[in-house]
Amino acid sequence: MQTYRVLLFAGMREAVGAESISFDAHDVATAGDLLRHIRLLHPELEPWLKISRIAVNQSFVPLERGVDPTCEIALIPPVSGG
Amino acid sequence: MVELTETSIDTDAVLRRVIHPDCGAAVLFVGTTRRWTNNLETIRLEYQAYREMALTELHKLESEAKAKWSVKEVYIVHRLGEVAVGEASVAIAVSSPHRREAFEAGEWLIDELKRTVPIWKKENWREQGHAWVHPDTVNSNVQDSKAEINRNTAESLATAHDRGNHHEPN
Repeated sequence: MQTYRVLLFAGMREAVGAESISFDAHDVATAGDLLRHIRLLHPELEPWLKISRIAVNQSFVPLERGVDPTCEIALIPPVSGG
Repeated sequence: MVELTETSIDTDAVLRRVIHPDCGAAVLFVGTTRRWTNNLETIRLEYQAYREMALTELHKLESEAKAKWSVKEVYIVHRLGEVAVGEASVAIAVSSPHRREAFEAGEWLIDELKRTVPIWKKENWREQGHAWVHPDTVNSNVQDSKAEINRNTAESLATAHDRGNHHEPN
């Protein structure tokens, strides 16, 4: 079993009431697997999950990209700076 | 140069930093908090960043602008935290030997910043509460139907410090 931590921002941070979420899993190989776990554990994030991208080590990655617990993982909803 | 700051942006200083003896033009874009969006009154905006990634993305934009256009200096600063109506949330200054490159690069930089850099704004309205803004999405499912208004930073001031016409006919 490995522990994954995922950084949250903006509306997602408020919905959960924390700056990140953590969970244990033994079957995470890709960013897509990670997303599947988050969906199950945090249904309150669903409105954002379907519009967010995943960043690994501060770069956007496709869902098939491999991840491990040492990565810095973040959910990035559509941005609105400027 | 790129910067994220919690304090007010000195836009004159941002412009001064790009002025260069090899350049005939310096363009400054300042995005400010607009009071009215349609009939909704904004009291203040609040900005949050994924700081490390935002700086990385801003550096990428600076490099790309310098590769795409003949620009000499680029300075981008974005404010985080609360920004009151009328105050600057972002300033972008670009210098180039001739004005066209500086204008084009400056416009491209603010467009790309709004599209790619992980910074988010939260609207605080006088009457309608508050909501984080996530453009191009069905925000009514997220938090507040008013969140669909996503162009709430006024693009209110663009100053061209342009000496380029001394060097070229147009």
